[in-house]
Amino acid sequence: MSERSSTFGPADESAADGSATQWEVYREWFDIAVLTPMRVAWSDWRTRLGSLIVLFYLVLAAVAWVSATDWGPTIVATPSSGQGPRLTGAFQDMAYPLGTNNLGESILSAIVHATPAMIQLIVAGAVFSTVLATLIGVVSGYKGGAVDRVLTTVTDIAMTLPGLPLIILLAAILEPRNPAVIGIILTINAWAGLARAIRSQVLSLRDDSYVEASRVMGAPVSRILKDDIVPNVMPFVLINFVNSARGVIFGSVALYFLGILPSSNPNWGIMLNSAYTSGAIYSLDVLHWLLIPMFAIILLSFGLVLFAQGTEKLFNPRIRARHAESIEDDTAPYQE
Amino acid sequence: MPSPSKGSDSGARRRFLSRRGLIRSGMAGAAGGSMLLAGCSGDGGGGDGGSTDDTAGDGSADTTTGGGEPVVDSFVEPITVNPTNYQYNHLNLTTPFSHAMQSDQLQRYFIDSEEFESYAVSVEEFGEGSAVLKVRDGLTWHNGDPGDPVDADDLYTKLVTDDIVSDSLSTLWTDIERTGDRSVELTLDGNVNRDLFRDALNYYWLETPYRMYRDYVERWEDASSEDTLASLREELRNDAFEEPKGNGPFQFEEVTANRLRMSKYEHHPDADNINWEYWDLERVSTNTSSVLLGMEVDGIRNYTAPESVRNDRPDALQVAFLPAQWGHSLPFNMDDPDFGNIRVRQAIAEFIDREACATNYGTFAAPVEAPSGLVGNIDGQNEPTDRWTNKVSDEMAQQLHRYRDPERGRRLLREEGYTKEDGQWLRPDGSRLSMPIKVPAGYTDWHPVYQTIVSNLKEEGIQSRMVTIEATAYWSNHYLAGNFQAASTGWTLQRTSPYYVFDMYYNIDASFMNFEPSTLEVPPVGEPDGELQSVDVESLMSDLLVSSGEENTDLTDQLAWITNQSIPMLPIQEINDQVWFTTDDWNVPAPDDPRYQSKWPLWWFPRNGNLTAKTA
Repeated sequence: MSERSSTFGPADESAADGSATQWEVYREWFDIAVLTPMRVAWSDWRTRLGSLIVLFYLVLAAVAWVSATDWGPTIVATPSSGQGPRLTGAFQDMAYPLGTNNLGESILSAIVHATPAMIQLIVAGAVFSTVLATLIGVVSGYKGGAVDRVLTTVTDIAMTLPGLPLIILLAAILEPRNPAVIGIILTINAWAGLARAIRSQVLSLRDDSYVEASRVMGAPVSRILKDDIVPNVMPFVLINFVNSARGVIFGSVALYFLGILPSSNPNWGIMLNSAYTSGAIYSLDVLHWLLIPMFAIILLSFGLVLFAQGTEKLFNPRIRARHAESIEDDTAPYQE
Repeated sequence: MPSPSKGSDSGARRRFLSRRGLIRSGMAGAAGGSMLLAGCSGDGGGGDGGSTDDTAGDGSADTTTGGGEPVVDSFVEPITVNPTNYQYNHLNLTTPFSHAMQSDQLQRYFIDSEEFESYAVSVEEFGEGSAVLKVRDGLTWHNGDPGDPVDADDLYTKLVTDDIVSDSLSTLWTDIERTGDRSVELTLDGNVNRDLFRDALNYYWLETPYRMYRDYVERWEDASSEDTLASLREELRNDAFEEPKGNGPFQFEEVTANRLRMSKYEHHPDADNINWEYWDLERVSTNTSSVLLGMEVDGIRNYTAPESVRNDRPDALQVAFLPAQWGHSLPFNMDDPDFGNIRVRQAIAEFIDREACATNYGTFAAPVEAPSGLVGNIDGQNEPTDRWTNKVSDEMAQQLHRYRDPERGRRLLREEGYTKEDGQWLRPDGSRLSMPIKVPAGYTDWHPVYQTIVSNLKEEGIQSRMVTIEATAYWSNHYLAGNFQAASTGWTLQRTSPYYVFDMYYNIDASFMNFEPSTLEVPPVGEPDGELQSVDVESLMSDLLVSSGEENTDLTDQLAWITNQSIPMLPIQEINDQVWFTTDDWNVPAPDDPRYQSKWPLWWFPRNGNLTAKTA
């Protein structure tokens, strides 16, 4: 059974009989829902570092967004031709700390201003594939019968579609411009494998005693799925969410590099392509133009991997309880 | 014999086909895919070469074959496809094989001196509305030892098949007949200008043996309607030949999955200038820079290499430049509420820094001095020239507007009801003025030009962005379909006569830009800010085709002015082709030698003895 219901139960009762204020209820909720996961995350160096890296990119995206709008200060100027001398190396001139490209655009500007679109694309792709996979996997596994057969057939069909040619075809037909749409296209059939795996897990969970208890008590299916099934598959889902995000990064960069995806915004893949076609691999003078976007891609991917590796603890009730100030007795036997 | 296909209604289609041929070849090549074989994409795409009888084998002192055994027996040129997929009908655009060393080019054009020199075909007579063309003596087909002589039937076939596929030369004549063993007479469409006719003969190869195309020629002679011709065209375009054909200095030898080998054809008139045995097309990586730097091949006709490759190349890898006779342009959609307005187009032209575009493209580009469709803004040493002024009068060369005045651009926009608030230009209805520019994604060497334009416009307060689209989809679904506000393409069809450039703007590409030249209004000559007046472009074009002397200059002046003011597509810059040779085993002229100034040195040098294998 979920941690949350057992913890909030007594608190709600206390509030009802006047032994706890509403403020304390909120505080406990905040402790359980927000602070505890953060403490758990912070206790593991991988999650800590991964979170910091992901946060760093979110800050970059915010900086780009603020700089591009009219009302905010220009923290990092939007990249423009003639911003600086052409092909200045990295760390040669602090006005362009990461150097410039063949147009004289600051590579720092290009990296920063490509970040919002990349994040939109990554989040859209990862959310689409994991939400769809979770929904189909959980419903299919729990409901069984005809629903399961139909959903499994759909999943199997999606799994057999060749991913890359399908993406190329869709990109050519739809010519999507919105990064979120591109993210969804990139994961157009990536959800199927995850849906299958989740279905398998749900098949074993559905016969567990606490799920049976809920059923016997007459709980509606939606509540059983929400409170009893989904939380137990969440670690798996979250790890796959992060893996999907990584897949979207690599997929988008590769397809932008190959010139298959249409684009109208700065993009790390296009930066790589421009650097490559400008002979960056043949000259040390131009190499920074290739290495810096590559580093941006690798760092974000690395951050997501570390974050994913540490996330399992977030869903382990015992570890969570150990880090929750509002839960004391239950955790005593497990404290080190 | 009468030509049933000369109706004016066929003009648009024939030009459309020519345009597609060009897109498939010239621009793609210049965009980095220049390892395409010459001539693979039809007449317009390749290069071939030779010299006239009087200059053949000029054997310059630095590259004469000399005595001794050559250190290599084959010249290696790159291809990136499986050569076993080739078929040998060059008029079928699906995997055609037609190599410039296998067939001879009709004539040679010297870009620097603007002179023509006959090669496989000479113009024996010209005037009074007719032209007599004659095949070079001694040319034979590769079907024997020696093979059949190339004669009037073959030249006749060349011109007829050109008409069947509606290529550019066919627009100039109305009737054709054989007048001797090796001569053909064309009845021209009026007193066609001689230089214009010679220009039309450029970049044509004599690669049509009558014995292989006889059926098509006879059916063309019997055709009585446009429908019959259309059906004939479709058949010819889809016919795949299994047998190679040619009359050049190298003949087909063998083909494997990784190499197509041609061997020296001893009976070619210029075979004595060649001191090695084979011309090999070897399949290599698509990373041309790597192929070059690894010295995997002996030469490349035209490859636009990154600066870093040129700067860091091995000593034995030589690059020379010659004007490509085209450059990048910004075509506008004339149906667009903003850019259909001549004053808005002029304002945009004032805001764009063409010099920065050329600089960002690389050292082998020069900005167009006065955007008006006149070719000749760069020389073979990558320096700007004013060769373009030779096409118009001195007075007009001065009058053509230069578009370097952003302040005028702002005034023009304000006069049209646009306003600037908080640094951003707004339309009369209050929305932001924006101009997305569509560009083929794979043509990465084009991108700096359009990124610079985007940057210029953003700095001026106009929303702009470069929209990259997969190359095939770009041409078919966007540019050719007129689906853009502003786009990207070359501003010439690689011919220097102003007529052909104007024909591209007002005829061939007009429908792509949703342009109705008949409704065009421009300011009076010499008064860029004067009141707009109607002009009859079609009539001026018809007159230009058959004009000469002062009349020709006067008409060119008028059309240059109209183009300079209406700018349906804004010429940005003119570029150079880059020809590559390795010099460890080969003798070639030095890069600054004027012999490079003719398309393309890789095809002319072997024939003239300017490319020879070093001897032991």
